[in-house]
Amino acid sequence: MPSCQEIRECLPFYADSESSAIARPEIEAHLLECPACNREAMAHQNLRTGLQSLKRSQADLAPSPAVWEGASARWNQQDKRRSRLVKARFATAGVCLFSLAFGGAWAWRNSVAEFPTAAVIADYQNLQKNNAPPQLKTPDPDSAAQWLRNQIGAEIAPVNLSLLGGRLEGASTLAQGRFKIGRLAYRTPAGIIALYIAPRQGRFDAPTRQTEGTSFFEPNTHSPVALAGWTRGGVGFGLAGEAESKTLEKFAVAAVKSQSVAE
Amino acid sequence: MWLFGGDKRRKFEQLARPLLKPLYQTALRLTRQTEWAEDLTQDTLVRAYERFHLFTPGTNFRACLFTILTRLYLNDCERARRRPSLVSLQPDGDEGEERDFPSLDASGDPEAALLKNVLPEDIQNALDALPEEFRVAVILVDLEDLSYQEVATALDAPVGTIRSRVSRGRGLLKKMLNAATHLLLV
Repeated sequence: MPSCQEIRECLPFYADSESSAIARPEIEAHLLECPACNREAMAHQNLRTGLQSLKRSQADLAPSPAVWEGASARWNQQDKRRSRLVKARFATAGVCLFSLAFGGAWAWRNSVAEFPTAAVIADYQNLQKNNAPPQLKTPDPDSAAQWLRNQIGAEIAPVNLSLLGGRLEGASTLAQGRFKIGRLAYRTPAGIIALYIAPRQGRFDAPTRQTEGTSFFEPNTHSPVALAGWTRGGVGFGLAGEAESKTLEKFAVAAVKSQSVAE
Repeated sequence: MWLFGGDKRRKFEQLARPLLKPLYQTALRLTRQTEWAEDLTQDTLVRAYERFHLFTPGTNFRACLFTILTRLYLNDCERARRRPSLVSLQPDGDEGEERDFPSLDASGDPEAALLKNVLPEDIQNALDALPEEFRVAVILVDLEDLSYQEVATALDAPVGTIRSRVSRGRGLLKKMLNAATHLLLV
């Protein structure tokens, strides 16, 4: 049986119909038996009733109409502000999306891919086997460069190897994935040499060697074909030939110089 | 709740309009100043509208409004650290005339009879004289009928603390009413 003290501690919550440490039936049973606690419970009830009466006596109190009107005016301001905010967010999102799309397209358009070394070696070997470099109606470096510019859409300076006895025989293109590669074939004392021009494929993932201010890339091709590669403005150039790498590099240096003079 | 523009406004007004008077009355009980109570009521409505998108339909909108009101009031008190002067809460033209007071059905109980002599003003005065934290808790529980849990949320305090404040507040009220009326409630 709970003591009077314990019951009295629960009486405020009993009066509120809130849960307490002692169950309601137990409290009620105690109140029936204990007049003192019953009086205490009644006092709680009376106080609560008194407070409710106070509330009822103030039930007519109302704010002035200005309260609702003022709130209404401020809601209008909030709505306008929110509307402006939503518009601004949409605009910002639009600008971000556009920038993202534009930036992505720009990055895709201007990204520099790896020079297609294997494809170039294979093509050169094919060229050697047929021993018939593509012909050009007027096989001079200027018209070949002009023709290639139209074909592969890249700024190409004419390459002249005549100082080393190289004679341009023809120009052609070959497809390489999403790119188009230009090819210039020269007949030289060291045999046929082909210059491959690959727009946006000027990345060489290997150590390079500096010769006369230009970084040359010389991959190990595991074949008689040697390659000297270099980059100019994101365009990859690869000179392929069945010659010693020193000899090929001489032609490569001459080609770079020739490009520089033409530019 | 995803409501936009007119819909949101309509729904909010539909819920808030019936609570304007109770809200103001509570503000008045808390502040005891008409002007302050009106400002507090308006601020509560504005704040509630601002956050109406967070309101979950089906939950107790009334309790939300009273929570906002109480917090704004406590913020005001904290900011200003002022003790408002007392004003009568009796409706105009009704001061002391009508005694719509305890209709205790305790026939033969001397206590119930004694309570009939206690005026609403006496209770109001006793309530006003309570320490602030007890006063706020008693007003919210006993006059606004918020649950202990709702008051705990509004005051950002544990439920046990609220129970204790209400209990002690009522104890003090009884003592003050006894002193004011020279009658013993217990």
